[in-house]
Amino acid sequence: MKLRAAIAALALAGLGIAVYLTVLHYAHVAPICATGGCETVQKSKYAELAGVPVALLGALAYVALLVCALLRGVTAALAGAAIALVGLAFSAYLLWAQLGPIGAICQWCLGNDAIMLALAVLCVLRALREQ
Amino acid sequence: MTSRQRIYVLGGVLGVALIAVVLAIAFAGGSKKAGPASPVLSHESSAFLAGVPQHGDTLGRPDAPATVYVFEDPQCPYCRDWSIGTLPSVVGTFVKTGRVKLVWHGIPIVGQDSMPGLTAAYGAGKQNRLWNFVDQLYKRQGAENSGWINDATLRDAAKASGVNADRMLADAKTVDPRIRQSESEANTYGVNGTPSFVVNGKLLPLTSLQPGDFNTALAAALGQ
Repeated sequence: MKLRAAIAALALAGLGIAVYLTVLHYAHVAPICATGGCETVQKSKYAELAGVPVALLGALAYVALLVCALLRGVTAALAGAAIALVGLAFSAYLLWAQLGPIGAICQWCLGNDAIMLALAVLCVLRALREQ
Repeated sequence: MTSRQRIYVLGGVLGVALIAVVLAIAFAGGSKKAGPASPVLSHESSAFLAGVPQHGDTLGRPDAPATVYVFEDPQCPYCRDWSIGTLPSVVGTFVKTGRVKLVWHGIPIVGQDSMPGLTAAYGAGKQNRLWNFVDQLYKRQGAENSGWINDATLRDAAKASGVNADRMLADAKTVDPRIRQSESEANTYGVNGTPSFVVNGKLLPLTSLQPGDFNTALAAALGQ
């Protein structure tokens, strides 16, 4: 139960970041940024995948993780872990894009990376323990 | 399902995801650095501002019935897009007709590199050419925090906007309180990004910065 609650809390935090970035993406407004590179990242080609903002994809993933956390059972646990692992791999790809081709760092993306890493660990733990 | 089977399933998912990432990186070609966010513009004059009264940070007739606060950062690419792509239309539709006056509020959103641009803009405001100077600065915008806001760029933009650069840079040393005031007002109105616009004391809700959409939203906020 504690594991599911922690996963739900992290998914909500990630959802908050993803929704904030999605809204700003469509409003063409720059996010608050302490690292100084958020707009560069937001305006790069890596901010969209097939025309869909990656922030929106992230929001959908966090909603799915939240649903999996609220459901009991092995299937929900395995689905959550699979989504979190795919999310973690995609986050790694976006981190590579920031450090390499874009040449700028976005604090919101780093926050998302940290949350997705924690979610992946917790979801895998849950998937191995769930009865 | 046994623990071993679960490990196999998740290992398979992770493996496929990692292969997809590796392929994406390989096909993206990782050596290219991103250039400036938008193409470099020629430094044409700010003709759309000709004949529009300016006083300090205010553009338009002082007795205009409506006031729009414009929150910007000279390093912000979206501010540049709005300033170059949409502001001329706003000036033509709302400011030259005496319906609105614009008050520039410069705030450092992108980083500390923004400060010399902000202080220089307010310095240009002492010569009642702030809006010309900001327009010229946007036309010279480089990558965020790359050091493009330097003495040479500021002097070049000042020259192109009819501003005495020496006086502007001297006055720039005295305008920190004005920037603090802008930051305070940004907090008051809930400004959490740039560009943002406050119309008669209310944050303007926007879905697009394109001229047509922006002017429609502004007209709606003005009740016109």
